[in-house]
Amino acid sequence: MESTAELNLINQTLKGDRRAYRTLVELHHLNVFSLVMRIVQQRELAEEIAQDVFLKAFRSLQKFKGTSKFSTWLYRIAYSEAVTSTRKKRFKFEELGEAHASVQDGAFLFDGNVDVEEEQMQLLETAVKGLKNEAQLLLGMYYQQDLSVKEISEITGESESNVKVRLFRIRKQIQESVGALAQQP
Amino acid sequence: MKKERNIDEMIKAALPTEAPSASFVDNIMKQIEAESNVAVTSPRFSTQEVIGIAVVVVLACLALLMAADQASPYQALNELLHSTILKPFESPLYAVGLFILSGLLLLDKLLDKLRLTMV
Repeated sequence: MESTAELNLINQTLKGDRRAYRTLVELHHLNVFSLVMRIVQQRELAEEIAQDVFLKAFRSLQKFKGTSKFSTWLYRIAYSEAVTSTRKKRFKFEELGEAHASVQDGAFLFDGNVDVEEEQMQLLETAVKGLKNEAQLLLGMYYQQDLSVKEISEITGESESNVKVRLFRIRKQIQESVGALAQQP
Repeated sequence: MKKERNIDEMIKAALPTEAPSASFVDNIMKQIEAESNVAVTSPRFSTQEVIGIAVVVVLACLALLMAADQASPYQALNELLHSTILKPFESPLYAVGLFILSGLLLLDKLLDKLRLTMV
């Protein structure tokens, strides 16, 4: 559900208050840009598309019914615009193999707090940077845009179980990469 | 020295973030402003304006007819009504056309109803 403050901004925008929409843009522009950037991989193009996303959202704000979060609605437009610009119908995620059915709810999550040294944090950063675009896109949606598995599924068109499996695999991949990087002299 | 950090926060922090240019938000707002100005200045007529224009056109036609035939305003109005609205009714072709048109409209409604019943 939508936060009251954000709903107020939307209502004010619909009444013609452009400053209210500016606030909404300021609140979401970093996340929208990051999401688009991870798909198109070109800074200038990403900026152009992200601007179009906010223009499109402004023009069709009356269609926003508040049944989902405004951010989810916005990211759906962003995802669709970015994917369309790459002249593909859908963002190409890798095919899933056998491990698909074995992942339980919540198993893809990283659990608890861990003791880390700065050096290990750097290893983690290197491992994350080494991930493929699609993996970074999913991680970004989950951790930066703070979307739920259900919301990611709605935006990308992937099933919820597929999203869970992918996040689970990305976690495993990060763990393996951190392990391998730590062993390097 | 070790410190405790939540793994979610760590991943969040490890993800590369890129920000758009500093003028990003301003550019969006400028475009919205420009679009709104175009919408305001676009030639759209209100109902009152349309009625006003129609009245002016009818008056102009009446004035022309009066000037051409040296007729009274009543005669001019009568002629205008007759030539634009009543005259076509005198033609049997017009009646046939109307009959076909109403038949088509009726058929369209019937098809719509049929489609709804089938759903």
